[in-house]
Amino acid sequence: MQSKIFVCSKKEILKKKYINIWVEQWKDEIIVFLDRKDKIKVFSSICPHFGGEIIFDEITNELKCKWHNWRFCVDTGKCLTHKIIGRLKSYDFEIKPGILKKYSAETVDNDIYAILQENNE
Amino acid sequence: MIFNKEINCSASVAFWNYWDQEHLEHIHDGYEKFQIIYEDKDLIFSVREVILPLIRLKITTPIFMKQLDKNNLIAFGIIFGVLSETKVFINDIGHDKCSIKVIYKFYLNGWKKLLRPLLKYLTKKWFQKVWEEDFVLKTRRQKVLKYNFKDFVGLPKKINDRINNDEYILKLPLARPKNSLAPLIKIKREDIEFKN
Repeated sequence: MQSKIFVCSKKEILKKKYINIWVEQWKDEIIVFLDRKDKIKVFSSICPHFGGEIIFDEITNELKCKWHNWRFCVDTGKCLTHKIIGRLKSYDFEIKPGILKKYSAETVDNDIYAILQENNE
Repeated sequence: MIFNKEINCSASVAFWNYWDQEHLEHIHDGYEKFQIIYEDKDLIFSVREVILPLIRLKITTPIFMKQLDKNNLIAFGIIFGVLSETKVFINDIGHDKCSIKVIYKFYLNGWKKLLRPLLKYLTKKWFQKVWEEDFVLKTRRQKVLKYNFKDFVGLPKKINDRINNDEYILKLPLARPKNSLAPLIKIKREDIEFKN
């Protein structure tokens, strides 16, 4: 089964570089970011160490935990600091053309939807 | 000086936050280099560089921390040559909520008594700053544990398994990866026990 969640607009991610958002339906927190090649990526943002918040380090092009500075690969989610079982789960995503927001007369830029494939877990 | 606080996390989660030494330099402005000298299941002896708030003076202090009871601890440090004692008492007060009482004491004698107002002022500022910076660590950890988070593994793969109502049991010393920061001295408990 596939579930699709609206995360943010593309405009927002271009401006902020990364966004963390808690997705209650998936019981997970995700990070959406633009890597060094301006490629959008979506990963779980709960550090497998102790549960800290993952942020994107633009300078090193790595994901890192705010609590203990553990670093993770932006392609695989694998921990680069220590050899551990856990890794950051990656989510597929798609970008759809802007939709009309309920309380706005303007059409927002392309929206980013993260996709959870539960069968692939 | 006594400080009382309440927070939405279990007493064990709050205790974990006090016991976790490695977050200090990343979360709290003012904590710098540190080295664990010795660690056992209920005590940690470390040396730490700290920049004092407001006056921005860097000091190096040994810190001795001992678990007194399941959720209570005592810590000693040295500031301006004065021995400081910090007692932390944590109690569960309902579902995923706890109270935290922190008592600071400075052993002042002779001319060092003149430092009392400065230490009082700095301690108040320090406590509030550290409390605010640590707040999210306690509440977030409580949240992920409720979603069945396992240390070094993460959340369960299946969404349906992301629920856990069991009490969090803290195991000391905190587990570390093999290539992580290790205590300088490795002593087995048998080595320090008296043998007749």
